[in-house]
Amino acid sequence: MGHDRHVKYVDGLLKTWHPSARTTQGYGGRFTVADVIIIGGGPAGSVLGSYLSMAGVSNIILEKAVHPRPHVGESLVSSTVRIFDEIGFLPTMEEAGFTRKYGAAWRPTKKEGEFSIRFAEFPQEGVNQDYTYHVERSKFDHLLLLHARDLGSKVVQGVEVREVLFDDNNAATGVRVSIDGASTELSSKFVIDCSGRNTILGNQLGLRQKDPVFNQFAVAAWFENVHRSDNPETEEYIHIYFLPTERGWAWQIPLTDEITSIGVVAEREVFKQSRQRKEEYFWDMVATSPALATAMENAKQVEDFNTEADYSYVMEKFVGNSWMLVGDSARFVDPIFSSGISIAAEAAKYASKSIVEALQTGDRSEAALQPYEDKIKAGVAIWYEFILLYYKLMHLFTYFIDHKEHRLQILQLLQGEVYERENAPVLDAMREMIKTVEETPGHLWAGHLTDIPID
Amino acid sequence: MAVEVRPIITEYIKSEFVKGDTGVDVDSANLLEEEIIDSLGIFTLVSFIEDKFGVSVEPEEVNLDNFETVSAVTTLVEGKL
Repeated sequence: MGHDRHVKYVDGLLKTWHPSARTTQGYGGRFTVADVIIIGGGPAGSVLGSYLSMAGVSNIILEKAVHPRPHVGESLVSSTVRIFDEIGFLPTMEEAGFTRKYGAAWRPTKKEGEFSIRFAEFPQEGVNQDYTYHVERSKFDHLLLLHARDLGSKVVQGVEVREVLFDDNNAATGVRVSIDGASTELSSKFVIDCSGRNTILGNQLGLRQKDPVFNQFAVAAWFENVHRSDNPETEEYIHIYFLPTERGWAWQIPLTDEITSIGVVAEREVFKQSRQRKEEYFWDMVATSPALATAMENAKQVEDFNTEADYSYVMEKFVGNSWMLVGDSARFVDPIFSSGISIAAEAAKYASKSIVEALQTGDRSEAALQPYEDKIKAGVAIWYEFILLYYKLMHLFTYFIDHKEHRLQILQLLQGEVYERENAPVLDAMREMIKTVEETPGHLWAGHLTDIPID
Repeated sequence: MAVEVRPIITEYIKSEFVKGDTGVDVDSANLLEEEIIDSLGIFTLVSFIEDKFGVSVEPEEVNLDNFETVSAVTTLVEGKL
């Protein structure tokens, strides 16, 4: 859409919802168009908008970009399917023809072959299919945003939130947005930050804390002609290649029949010390794994490399008076288990419940919203512990995949089904194993443990 | 009749880890030193043993003494039957 047309379109939308709204012809006031302002139209914002609309709560999604727009994070876990089902989005996913993801496979560095796990081994309550999806984010995020709109969310794209507005009691009262340089203030009862890694509210309030352990760095691009697997059954799984580098691994995500996303992840320091450009670094990392090098032998790159850095952080708190953080805007750890969209979607679901309740009781205080934070923090803590132990074990993790007692538990974690720590005894088993390997003299697996601190 | 553990283990290692005719006598070889199995291959072997013989190999038993030779592995398994 051209610039002038876009401004006119935003103007038109806002006027439809609020007749006195004036944006570009010189701002003249502050106006309310919905009870809930959602900052960001990625999966967190769109799922939240969908639930709120279904509950009859008026909401507006303010999206900085104009979709479709690219984004990293192209694989889902299967608990997400339940959420899509609840908001009626599954038919759209099927129609769009996203690649079905039936499982995950790990690829050792030296050895041929793979350790794989199939979702069908553990049927999930409320999930009536044995697969989830790999998604081109530009298309997926766009469809999800349109879905929220169809359910009743007001959606404005190309509008950047400059700041969240507060009253004297530190309660969020709205946002200041910028539309083509002109500034307008929108009021609401709630402001929910779904701005993803932009972490608008976290930055504004100085809540951001860097993760003490993780400082990973990723380089990724799309390719054609990737040899995904020798085994036809796992060709459309996500494949995770171990790389012989500190916390190093690579993802292989089949996006379409032709296109595969390949990303190389390692400790940021590894990249820095290489003193290489991202292209050279990527290909050198690929070469460190014979298995990955073989898969990439005839690969043809079809887009430029993207990088992601500084990506592990947590906000000091996720709620305050009349505001909440949902999804990546609250915390992001690591992409290893494709947990990002699942956490965002689950959090959006619980956030919508809290919002509906608070609007009923009239209590929008931090204390009233605290249960949401507690719930999400507990859930994310399990992912965090799982990821931490995984990085400690690396190759040794495959022991748990192949272990008859632990396999199902691992699968449940991978499916995004565990929100209570007592339901994850396999994490204790992983700790036990680390301890045994560290303390047994001459243990054959001792060389495989990484330096990562786990306590 | 007791299960013949040793030939089962020898055959498994041959089929899973030895590619082509290398002239190595698996039955008497030092499995790790001669790089027939690497430390990760031990996973696969442990899984096989647990499935095949219905025994459980504990993580603390994954040491050189128990996995150096077919003979050592056999002793480990037989001790659990």
